[in-house]
Amino acid sequence: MKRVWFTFSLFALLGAAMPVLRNGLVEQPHYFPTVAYDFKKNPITSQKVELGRLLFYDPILSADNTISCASCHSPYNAFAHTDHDLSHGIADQIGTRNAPALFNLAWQPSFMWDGAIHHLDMQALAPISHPREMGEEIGHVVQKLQAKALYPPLFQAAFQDSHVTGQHVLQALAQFQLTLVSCHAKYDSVKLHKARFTPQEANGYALFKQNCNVCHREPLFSTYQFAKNGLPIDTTLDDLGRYQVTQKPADSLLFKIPSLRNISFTYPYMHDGRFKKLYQVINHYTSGIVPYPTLSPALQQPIVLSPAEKTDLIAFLLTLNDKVFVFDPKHQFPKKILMPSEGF
Amino acid sequence: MLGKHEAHARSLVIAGFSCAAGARILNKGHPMGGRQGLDGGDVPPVICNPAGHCVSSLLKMRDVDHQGKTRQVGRALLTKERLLQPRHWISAGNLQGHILPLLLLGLLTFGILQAQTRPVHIRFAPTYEGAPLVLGAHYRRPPQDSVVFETLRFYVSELQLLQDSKAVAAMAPRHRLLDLEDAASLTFALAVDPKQSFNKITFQLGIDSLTNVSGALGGDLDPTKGMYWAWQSGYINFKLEGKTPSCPARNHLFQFHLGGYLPPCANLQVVELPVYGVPTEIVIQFALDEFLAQIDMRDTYEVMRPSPKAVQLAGCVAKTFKCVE
Repeated sequence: MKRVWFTFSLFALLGAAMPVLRNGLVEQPHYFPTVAYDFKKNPITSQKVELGRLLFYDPILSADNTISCASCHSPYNAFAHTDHDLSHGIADQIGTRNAPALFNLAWQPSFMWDGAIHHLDMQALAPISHPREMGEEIGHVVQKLQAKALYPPLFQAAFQDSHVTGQHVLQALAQFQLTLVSCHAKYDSVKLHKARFTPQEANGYALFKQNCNVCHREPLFSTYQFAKNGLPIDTTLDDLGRYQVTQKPADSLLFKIPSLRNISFTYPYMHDGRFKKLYQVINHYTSGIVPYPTLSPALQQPIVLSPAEKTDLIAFLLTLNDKVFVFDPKHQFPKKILMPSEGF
Repeated sequence: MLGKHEAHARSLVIAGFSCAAGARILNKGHPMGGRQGLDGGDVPPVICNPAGHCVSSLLKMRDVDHQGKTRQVGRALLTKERLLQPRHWISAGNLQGHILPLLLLGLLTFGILQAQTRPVHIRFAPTYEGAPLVLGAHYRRPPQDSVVFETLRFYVSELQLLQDSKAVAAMAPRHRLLDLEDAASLTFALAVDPKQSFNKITFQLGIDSLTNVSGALGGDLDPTKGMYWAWQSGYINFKLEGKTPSCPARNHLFQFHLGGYLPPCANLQVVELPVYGVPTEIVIQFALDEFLAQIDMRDTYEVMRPSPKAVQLAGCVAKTFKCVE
C-alpha cells in the first residue's frame, strides 16, 4: 500500500513540476506536438531568460564586440536576416548560408541547415566560434562577461553563481530562444476557431495540404527533417549540406526543411538565400526542380499549379505570418539595460 | 563471523553512534580490522568516491544473512551490539552526562569511517621513451626524425577498480579531463575498502553518447575546456597536437582531435588493464613513442572530425595505455 502511495505522490509531484519547468514562459498550443527540448535539464526561469536575452543582443559575444546574435537574427524578421542572401559577420566577412529564422526551437531535434548541432544549448557555440561570424572563443567570452560589471550579478540571480561558466552562458542563451514561440498567426486563430479563412485562403490551404504538407507539415510547417529539393548546386559555394555532417553520399545536397511560418518576414529564401520573392520559390517547385537521383520522394511527382492556384497558395501562406510574435516587446532589444553599458 | 559483523557495521553507518559501538567491538577483538577472515562474497559492494565517503553503503540499510536472504538490519541488531558493548563506555557516559560520550562516539565514528577506506592513488603518466613527457621538449623520433608535443588532453570516464567483474571503487565525478598542462589533473585518489582486493582497472577513453547529447554541461565537461566541437556537436575525446618535420602539413603541425559519438564513427574506447598485488598507487602509462610508432605521419596528420580514421586512431591510443608497477 505504501508503495502505491509513493508511486502516486511521485506522479502527482511530476505532474505539478511539469508547468514549473517552463514557468509559463514557453507557450504550448494544444495542437502542437510534444517538445523535443528536455526542460528537466534546464528548467526555464525568468532570470535565465532575461540573462539570455541580454547575451543574445550583446555584441560582446564577438571577437571585436561588433556582432551580436541579433545582428543576423533580427526580431523584426522573425529572427532571420532580411535582405541578405548570405549573412555577414565580423569585419564584413560573408558566410556561406542564409541565417535561418528562430522560432519554435523547442520542437526542433537538430539545428543549422545541415543539422550539425544536435542540441539547442550547444548551438550558440557554432556562430561564436566561426571565423566569419563572431570569430570568438567561448572561453574568452566567459572572461569578457566576468569582467563586465553588468553580468556577474545577473549570473548570480539566474544560476546562483556569479562565476560565469560556458555552461551557464549557453544555457541562458538557449532559454531565451526557447521562449521564441510563434503561435499567433491567422492560421492559429483558425485552428482555435477564432477566425475563418477567406475562400481564397481556404483553397490555398487545400492546395497546401495536397502538395506541400508532407515536408512542411502543419502546425509547425516543417518536419525538421532533411530533404533534397532539386535546387541546382551553386558552384560559387559548393555547399553539399547534410553530407558535410554525415559523409554519406545519400545525404549530398540535403538541407533542413525550414518552417513556413512568418514567411513574409524571413526572405530571402532557401539555404543560400537565392530567391528574394515567394513566387520564385513556388515556381521552383512547379518548374525548376533538377531531377537528382536522391531527390526527395515527395517531389518525384511534378507539382502542377495554375497561376490562380499559385496566388491562392500564397494567400494561404500569408496566414502563417505571426505579427504578435514578431512585434512581441519581450523579445526585443533590452535597451534600458544594454544601452547605458555600451562602450566597454 | 567477523566478516559478518564488519558488514553490519558498515551498513549501519547511517545509524550513527550505534555503528561506532559496533565497529569498536571489531577493532577491540581484532586489531587487524577487516583484513582477516573476510569472505568477500558476504559484503555488499561498496562504491566510494575520492573524498572517502562510502556512497552505496550510506544508502544500504539491508544486509544479507548467512542463508543469503536479505533482511532488514534494524533495532534487533543494534540491541545485540549494545549487549556486546564494553561496560566502561557506559560508565563514562554516566559520569559526564550524555553529551560528552556522544560527542566522543561521534568523533570515533568519524575516525573509523576514515579508517574504513584507504586511498588508492591513480596516476596517468604520459611518457616518451620511458621518461615523463614534457610539452615543448624535442624528442628523437626513429629512424631520423624529431617530434615536439604541444597539447595532450583527453577525457577519462567511468574509471573503476574491479575484482573480476565486480566494481570495488569508482571515480567521481564520472568524467575527468586530463591535461598535461595541468599536472594535478593527471592524478587523483579512489577510496577503497581496505578489505577489498582488486585485480583490474577499467575506464573509458572519451565521453559516452548519452552525455554527448545532454546539452550544456559544467565542470570538466564545460565547453570552455576546448574539448567540444563548435561546428558539429560533440565532445573531443582525445586531443594531441605537435610538430614533426616529416609531417607534410603547414608548419609540420599534426593535429589529432579524436571524437564522435554516433555509429559508425563512435569513438569511445574501453580500456581494461590488469592490476597485480595490493598497490597504493596505480600508474597508467601512456607512451607517446609507442603511439606514434603505430602511425605513418606522412599520410595521417590531420584527423579532426568523426571518421573511421579517428576510430582507428582512438583504438591505437587505447591499446597504448599500460599499467606499470
